Amino acid sequence: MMAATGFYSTMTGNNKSQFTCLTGKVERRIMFIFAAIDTARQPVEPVKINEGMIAQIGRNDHQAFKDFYEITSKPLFAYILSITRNPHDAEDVLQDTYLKIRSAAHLYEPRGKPMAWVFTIARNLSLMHLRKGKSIHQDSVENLEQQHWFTEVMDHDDRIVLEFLLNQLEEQERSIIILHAVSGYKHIEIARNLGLPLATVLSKYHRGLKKIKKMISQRKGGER
Amino acid sequence: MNNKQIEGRIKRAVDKMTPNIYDQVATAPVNKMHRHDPITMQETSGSRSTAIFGLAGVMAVFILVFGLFIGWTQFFQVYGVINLDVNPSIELDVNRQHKVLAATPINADGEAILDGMNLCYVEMETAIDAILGSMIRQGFLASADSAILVTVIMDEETQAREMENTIAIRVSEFFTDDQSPAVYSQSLRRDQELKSLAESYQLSPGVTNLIQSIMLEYPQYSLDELMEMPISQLLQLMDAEEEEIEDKENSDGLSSAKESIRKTKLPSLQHWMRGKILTGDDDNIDDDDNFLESFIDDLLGDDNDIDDDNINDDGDDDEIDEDDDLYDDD
Repeated sequence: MMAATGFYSTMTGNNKSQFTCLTGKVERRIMFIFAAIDTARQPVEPVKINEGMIAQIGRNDHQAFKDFYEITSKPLFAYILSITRNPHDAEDVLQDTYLKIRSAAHLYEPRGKPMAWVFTIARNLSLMHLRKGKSIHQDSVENLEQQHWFTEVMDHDDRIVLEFLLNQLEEQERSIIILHAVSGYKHIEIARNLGLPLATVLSKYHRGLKKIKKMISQRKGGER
Repeated sequence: MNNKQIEGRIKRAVDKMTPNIYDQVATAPVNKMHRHDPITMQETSGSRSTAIFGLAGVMAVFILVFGLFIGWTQFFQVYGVINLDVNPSIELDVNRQHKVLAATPINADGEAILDGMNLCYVEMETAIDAILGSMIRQGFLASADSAILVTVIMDEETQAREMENTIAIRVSEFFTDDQSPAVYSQSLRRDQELKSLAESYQLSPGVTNLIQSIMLEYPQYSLDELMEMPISQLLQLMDAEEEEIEDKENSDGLSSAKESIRKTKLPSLQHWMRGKILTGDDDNIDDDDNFLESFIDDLLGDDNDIDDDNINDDGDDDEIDEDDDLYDDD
């Protein structure tokens, strides 16, 4: 129950108190349904950092780094995961990314797109990581299902959607959809941060979602 | 499942999976870099390539616009206007490629001539042949004293003269028998005032200019009288005026080989040369292009020693016949 409550609190922290007294399977199920509805209704706040924050990190300002971490960790992890397709690798790269930012923040020249720089570092490190052969991204869906990281996603449907996303979509489709979902970026912001044309972002976003829907409906058809 | 539901599931799954590594990354010792490496390099190359692509785009648009402009000027812009006046008056708009963009009848007879003809994008010379053929078929050039006035209206003088020569020769060549009409030609600059005046009298600008020239020489004729006259009669009046000028020049000892050629009995060529005077620019004759010189030389067999008096006074038929032969062969 605590795990479920903890999970729910990450989704809707302000409503946490309403569910702490609920116990049992039925309550947990209800909680997940509410969580799903809540997530769908609440618009995700876009991740915004200012360039001064990077300069402060460059001056070893720990509070600035903490703020920066809190704001960026989820979208950054999601982006890295969309490239590595492996949560373990994604964690390694995420760690490298923050260390790299700490060591290079003082060199950052403000150009109006601090997150674009952060995503560039994350992408470069992810690709380097893949080149070093540490990735297991060739694994099939079945293998990934067995991994501990994916089993931590308690909701079966959530896990299936994520697995489809990571295993069936192209890299850019994955990155665009995952950033749109997790960071709350608008398509134009994704285009700016990833250095892609807006038309590409829009087409890949819709194409990717279409593929996921198709796979979900095929899976449901197979189950019946 | 709709898009929002899918995204909601992805967000929940990723949020659940995101590790908290703050302590590791906040406390781990790091060496400050002295300069960017390939991983932290800010997107200078990206912005440069964006600038290059932007510049390339601008260049492409510029080239496209320039190409369209060139294409328009070459193929769709009216480069010159040609008036063909017999009694039917017809106006041809031509492009730089000497293709007809529009053929417009100026009077009712002109409409009859162009009836059923589609001359759009036809070669200028071919269109002129077709118009002359139609005029012959409809009997407009049947009389012995018929005449054709060719007017080229263009801003560029040299090109106008070249086109005028080309058309005059073409028209002259079209008629091979003895009944060929006199061919007169003139070049005019574009003149909106003249055009408006011509439109108000339903005349071509060429004929309007001719009438204006005659009115200056013959004040006794009113505008209405001149407008009533057929082209051939107007041109005869112009001829008479030119002869007076020639007589005056001869008496001043200004006669030349070119003048003697104008006096040959080759009707088309004679009138064509005389028609040059219509431009009101004597330089048109004296400074005429090398093309004209060589053409004349060809006609005369490069015989620059021709005795003007012999031709003028004797009216030497043999010599004329020889010229005729040369002309036909040419």
